[in-house]
Amino acid sequence: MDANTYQQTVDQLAPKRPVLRNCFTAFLTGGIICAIGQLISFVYMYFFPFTERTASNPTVATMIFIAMILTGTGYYKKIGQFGGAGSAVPVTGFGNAVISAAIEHKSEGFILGVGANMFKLAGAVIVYGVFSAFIVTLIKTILVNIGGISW
Amino acid sequence: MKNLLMLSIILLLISGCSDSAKISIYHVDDDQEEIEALENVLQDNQKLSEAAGVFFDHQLAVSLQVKPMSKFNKEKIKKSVEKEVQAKFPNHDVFVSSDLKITWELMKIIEERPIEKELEEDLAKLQSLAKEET
Repeated sequence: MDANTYQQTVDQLAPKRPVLRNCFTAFLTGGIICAIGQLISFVYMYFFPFTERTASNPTVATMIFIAMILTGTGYYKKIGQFGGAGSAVPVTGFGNAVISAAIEHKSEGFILGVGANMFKLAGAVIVYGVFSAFIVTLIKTILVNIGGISW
Repeated sequence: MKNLLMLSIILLLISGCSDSAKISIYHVDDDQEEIEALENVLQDNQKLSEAAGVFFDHQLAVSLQVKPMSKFNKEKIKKSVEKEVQAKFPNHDVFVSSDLKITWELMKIIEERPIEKELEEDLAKLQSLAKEET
């Protein structure tokens, strides 16, 4: 059996991926998470002296905190199973990545286990987050200097 | 149930498409001329969905909300409105903001109609809020 026929057999036998359904559940889950985030940001703006610009920082912190608690109690796993990327892409996925890695490596001790492995997954998020922020800022600086848009 | 859903969707669409901006203005001395002048400036701008203004002792605080598709140019629209208002009221210290929080606070002031001293404090608080960056 060569590689092509093997691949064909695999394609025939493997269960079909419900791509459309996955897209829909991811859209739904991500949308609900973002709606909750918007609600929290409104709460910060309404009850505390935060403006639209400054409310985003405490909102992100609160969302990460909620995701961390949900991960610790095991509920975020269920949300992830249902929503897939919809639960991983928003900032709550970052909280989940940090805490789940910490829980996984707890048995190796607090320094070399939890401390060293906590950012195993989330480290990639930070690195590429900073990198893409740099690229986006660069593009925006150029566009503002050319005169297309304002800050 | 289906009919109710359809009706609510249609109602939402119709109310979402309403063209004119919702404008509320409060003048401490109740100067109708100035109120009308500001209202005309805000009404002329087609990109606004909501606006509020408060006149107080040569101070003028205006907040505006833009229509969803114009949100990309929010800062530009704010600056153009600021220029227009400043040209119309050269004797006033004009403060324009496009922040939702400022709109809510101004609406609160318009509803409560506080006495002058409280109003002065409220407006000072608003301006310091708008300056905050982080």
